[in-house]
Amino acid sequence: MSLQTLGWLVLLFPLGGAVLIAFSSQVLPSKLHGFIGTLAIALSFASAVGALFALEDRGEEERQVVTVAWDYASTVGVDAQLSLLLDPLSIFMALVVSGVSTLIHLYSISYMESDRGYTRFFAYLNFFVFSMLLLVLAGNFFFLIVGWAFVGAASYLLISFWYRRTTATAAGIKAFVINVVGDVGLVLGTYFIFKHTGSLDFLKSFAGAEEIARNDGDLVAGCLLLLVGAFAKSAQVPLHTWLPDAMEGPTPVSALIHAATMVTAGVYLIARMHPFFEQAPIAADVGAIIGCATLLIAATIGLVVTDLKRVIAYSTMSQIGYMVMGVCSAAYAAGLFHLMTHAFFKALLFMAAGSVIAAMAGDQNLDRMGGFRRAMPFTFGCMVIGGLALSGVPPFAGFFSKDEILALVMAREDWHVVLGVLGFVGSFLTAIYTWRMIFRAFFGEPVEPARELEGGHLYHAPEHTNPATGEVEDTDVGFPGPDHHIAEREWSMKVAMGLLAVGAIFGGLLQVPKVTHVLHTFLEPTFHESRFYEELEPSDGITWIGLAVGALLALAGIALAYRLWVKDPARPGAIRARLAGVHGFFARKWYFDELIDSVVVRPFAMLGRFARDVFERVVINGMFVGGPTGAVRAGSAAVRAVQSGFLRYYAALLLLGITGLGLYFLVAAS
Amino acid sequence: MSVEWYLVVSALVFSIGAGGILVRRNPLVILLCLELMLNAGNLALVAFARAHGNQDGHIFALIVMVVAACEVAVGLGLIVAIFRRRLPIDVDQLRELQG
Amino acid sequence: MAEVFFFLASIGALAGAIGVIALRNPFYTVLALVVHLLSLAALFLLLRAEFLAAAQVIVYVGAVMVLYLFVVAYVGGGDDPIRPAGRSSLRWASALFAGALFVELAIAVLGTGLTAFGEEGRGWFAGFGTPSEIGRLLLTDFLLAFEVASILLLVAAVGAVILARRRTGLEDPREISVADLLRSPQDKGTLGEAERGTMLEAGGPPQR
Repeated sequence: MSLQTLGWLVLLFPLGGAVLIAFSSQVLPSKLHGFIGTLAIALSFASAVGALFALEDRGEEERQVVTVAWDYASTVGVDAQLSLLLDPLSIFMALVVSGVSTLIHLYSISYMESDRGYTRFFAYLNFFVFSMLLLVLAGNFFFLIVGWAFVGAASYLLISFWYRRTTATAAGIKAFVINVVGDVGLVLGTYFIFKHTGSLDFLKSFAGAEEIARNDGDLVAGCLLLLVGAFAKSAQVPLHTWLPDAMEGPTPVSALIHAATMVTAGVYLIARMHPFFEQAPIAADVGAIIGCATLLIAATIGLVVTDLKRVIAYSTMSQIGYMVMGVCSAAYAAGLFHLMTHAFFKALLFMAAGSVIAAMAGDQNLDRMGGFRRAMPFTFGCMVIGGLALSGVPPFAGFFSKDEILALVMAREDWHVVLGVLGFVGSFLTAIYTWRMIFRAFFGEPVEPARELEGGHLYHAPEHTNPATGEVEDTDVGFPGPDHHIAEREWSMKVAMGLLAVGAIFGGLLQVPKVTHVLHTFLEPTFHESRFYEELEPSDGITWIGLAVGALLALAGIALAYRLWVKDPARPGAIRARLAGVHGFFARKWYFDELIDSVVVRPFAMLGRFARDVFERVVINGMFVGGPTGAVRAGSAAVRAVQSGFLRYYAALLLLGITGLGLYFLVAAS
Repeated sequence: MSVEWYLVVSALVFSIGAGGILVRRNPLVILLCLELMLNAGNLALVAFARAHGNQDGHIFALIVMVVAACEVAVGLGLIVAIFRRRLPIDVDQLRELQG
Repeated sequence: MAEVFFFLASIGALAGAIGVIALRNPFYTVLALVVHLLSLAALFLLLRAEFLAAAQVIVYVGAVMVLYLFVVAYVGGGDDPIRPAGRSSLRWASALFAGALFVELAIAVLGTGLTAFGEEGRGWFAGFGTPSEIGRLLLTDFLLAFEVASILLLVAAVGAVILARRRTGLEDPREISVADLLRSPQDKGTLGEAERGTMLEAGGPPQR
């Protein structure tokens, strides 16, 4: 099959899956829907692999293929077509997305089994995968924006999946609103770029990028707005507040959307738009700085949060900060490599966390966890692998990808060096918080659920409650199901986690520095006109020092975490007491929520109240609506008075009319 | 007598009938005033027939008589129906059809 | 001679007309109209409309007015009070309108430029206005009008019968008007409000 056909198939399988599940939701048994959904994504992955081979078969020069299905509109210079761009970058993203999605679907088959909304879950997941693939495969801005919006909608649907939980719906709304801010940025950015290049198509747009002056005002504005969109989607400061709250969704959702795929859309966007960012270095620099800031802020918050999933969420935010810093500093292949390895180990971590939470019957609080090591060996093993990969311990995947980013950032040699140093600090913090989480959950005295599990019995909570607020729930549709499923007992969860663990262990081999550069060569056709792609090469010295420092920092972090949370459990309490102010500041998430509330939410709420009370009531209802209707009503009341019902009045009017008419004719004739 | 005289008489009777409709409250009498107006029209028609010298006006007047007879029959039927239902025979009080 | 008859007949017609609108007893008004119709028949004769005059007397006076008399005898209606309650302004307005109408018509007639009106009338041939002539015209030139008029008579007859028939079974029909249906009832809104008696006694339709 040709590359174009395979490209369309990659998109159509998830869409078909979603539609099929949705329309057969009442007809087929729900178990079957899980398999249909997984099969659809698996077929999509297979098509992506096929597309990969088809792309590789082509010559070096022809690796960027546009396939157009339909011309929407060609008016006034706006060419909106239903087109896909199949080039190494998009195929790479499609492979990552569909591959990880397949495994997560497999995991969800068992994990969500007792949930009454099982079918809906798979329909939404398939729809999400379709939207994400649309986003990465889109061949023009128009389609990209469509995919972008769909992904936001799917994220909302999945975060508020347990829709009767008020915390979940509030989180969904928060995510959606921040996403919309990003959408606005994206659309406005597109406009600014379109103004100069005159085309919405990517390849044509990029070709026109070179003619724009460097740091042209419009282009900088456009790229900054694109960054707004990217930051909203990728949860970078200051548009990041939705990501921790998004952990209200089921764990597979967190694994898929908020670790591996949706949050990486921003990174993809910056990488795709690299011609513009290279022509507007100011915007790229802003992006790099914000990426660096985010990775530090998120790491500090991850040190103090007590919810298991939220630790992993902040770690996601931090790692994406690395990716953003990378692609904004023109380390494209490195950033995308980290995207891939991060997808593997972050999804793995989330899946393992889901298993632990299931063993705790839905409770996510780290304070109440402990000693699961013996009770859940497989989960523990996966968590350890994921944690090692995340911390950047060689030879696991995260080590190579993160250090490559940092090495390339240092190789820029201007003020970017500062960013590199901060990146190393961040990786130290990463190791600490990751292993804090692992030690607290798996080491120490087994808590009651762990003891029960060791005895072979899965812990059940006395009554089902919302883990965040403690409200009592039932287990009907809209709330989590009554049963929980852990990895040790479900084969599909084991397979999924196992495959991801393999990826987390061996994935780094794709880009061992100086030895292999599979990704770099693969992605070359996309980035060939970039100024930095070939030239930016860290010197040998920087590379080796970077690798060594990275490994040392990771191991030091693990050792420190071990010291604090295993050897000397009283120490963290003492440290917290001494640094209470700092701890409080981190625990309140650097007060970003409060800041956004006072700067954005309150003024808008006031505006809304004003609009409703004053403007709507007085001006619109009173004047614009009330005015004409009042006039009409008064007029018709006046006219109605004529219809008195008195026959003689009617006759009088008739006579008057005739007389008047006769008078008119008399006068006219004279 | 020239035709004008007859026409003036017709106009006079017509006006009297019109005024009568406005003044009287008994529907029977109103119908009678209606008859007055119809007859005034008949007179005018016959006068014009005499003036033109053909009998089209006569035929017209005959048909008008037929119509008047029908209308009287139906109108009186209505009045009888009203009376049967013990409603007051007074057009000022029969005013349901109002806005 | 003809002028004398003309004036006599005209005075009769006008007197009858004024009698119709002025007399209070409906019986007398019917009689006044009879006088008017007979005078009109005389005027028709003066205008050589023999058949029409005969038809006027036989049909109009003989049938229609007799019907009227029957209905007046049945319905009655009583004497109208001389001063109608309220609405006195309407009398002056009606006088005004009627007067205005008459003035206009008179101007139209007398001030017309048509010269034919000033004369007696054009050629009068033998057989003008005779039944044979009328009959010939009815069956040749005006056949459609003739047939339609007969259908109209049929329809009117049927309609009158339907309107005035007594509805069987209902002893004391309470009339429900459209307004009653549309008014939102304070009570159950059922058909019978038996306590109220007749509408005449209640002084009008039931107010809710």
